[in-house]
Amino acid sequence: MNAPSPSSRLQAGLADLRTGFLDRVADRCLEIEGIMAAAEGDELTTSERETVALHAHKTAGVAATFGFSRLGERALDVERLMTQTGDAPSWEVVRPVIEALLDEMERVLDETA
Amino acid sequence: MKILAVDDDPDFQAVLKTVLEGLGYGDLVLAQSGTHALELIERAPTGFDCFILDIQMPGMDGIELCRKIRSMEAYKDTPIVMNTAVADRDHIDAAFAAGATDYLNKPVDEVEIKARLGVIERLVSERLRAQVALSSPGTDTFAAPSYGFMDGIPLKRVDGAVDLFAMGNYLKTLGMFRALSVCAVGVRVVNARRIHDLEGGYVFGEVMIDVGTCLADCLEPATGRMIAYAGGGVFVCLLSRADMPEPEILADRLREYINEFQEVYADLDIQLPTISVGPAVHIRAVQLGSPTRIIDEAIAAVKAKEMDFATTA
Repeated sequence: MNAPSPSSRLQAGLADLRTGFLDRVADRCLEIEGIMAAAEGDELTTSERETVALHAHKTAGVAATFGFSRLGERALDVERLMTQTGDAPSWEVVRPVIEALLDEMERVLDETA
Repeated sequence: MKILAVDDDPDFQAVLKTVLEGLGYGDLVLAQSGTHALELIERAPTGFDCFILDIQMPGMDGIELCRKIRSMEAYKDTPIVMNTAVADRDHIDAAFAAGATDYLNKPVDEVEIKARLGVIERLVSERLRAQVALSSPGTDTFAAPSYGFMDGIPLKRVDGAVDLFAMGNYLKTLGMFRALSVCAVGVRVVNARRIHDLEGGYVFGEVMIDVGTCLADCLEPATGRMIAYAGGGVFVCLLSRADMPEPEILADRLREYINEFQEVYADLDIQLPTISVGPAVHIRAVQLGSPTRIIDEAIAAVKAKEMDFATTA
């Protein structure tokens, strides 16, 4: 999924919004890390799954628009996994996908700091 | 064009606002939830011309909101564009079944939004012109709708009915496997012109709705089927190839259903519709880039077919 090629007017508008987005990515990263640390080795609760899915959903919706295509893809992977129908995926399946998202969030935050 | 956009994410709202304003769509109202959107719709002194709805929202999701908006008389034909990051089949099918007109993937792509809203704006303008014509001096604003022969007729009481534009948009969302597994079939009311000329536009509209209802009943067991009216007494049905009966079997079944109206139509001295069903048209591998062609091909195929049966017998 590639970022769109925005016009210069749009780019200026998006630049104003980017800082707020990165602040929210930092908040989401901390909250998801907290959930992962607390759940280490155990399955996520329904409420934790919903929280992670919501953060992933919001990140996936706009990350690419701000130029973070890879972050959008990792977030989409998590959202798909968390919202898939049927039995909840096991911790062994969930953990690496969420960690890949956290790694990408940290990389983006480091790069833009 | 006055747009109501509904999304629970403030970042997405801000991005959408920036993009839409940049494209000249400054008359934009934002809502954070389905409930908030319904409040704004109720309070809005002038109606909205278009809705952009996020699918995944806490509480009332976009599909339920779409269904509620579509059930309002004032918005029965208003374009509704659904929006989501997770483009899975269940969501897409549910959105179109709830009355969505089009479907956009997140993240926002300025070029895509410009193209899609451009088409929708033309639709809105055409509908406004039609409303002005109806309410112009000398016509009764509250008169029953009188349709021209080639006009679109909203099949609002028909289960599974969508407009032709939405059917085309749905086809564009299908992946390769699904695209190859659907087919379109045209159904023509052979004596449509005569019914229109003899009975006038209002009765013609009611007869077409009756035919649409019979068609929906005939295709009842098929899941996910869509029915659209193309004007001029022609319908297009979209369904899975596995669910598509032989055209002649469908035609016979449809005639049986229509014949049930025979007594009522005779009492009203209205001609019973005479039906012709075209061959099933499916997407060929070389056409995957333009799947909407099967709609045109199904219409052309049934128009080319000669009248094969008269139900008035």
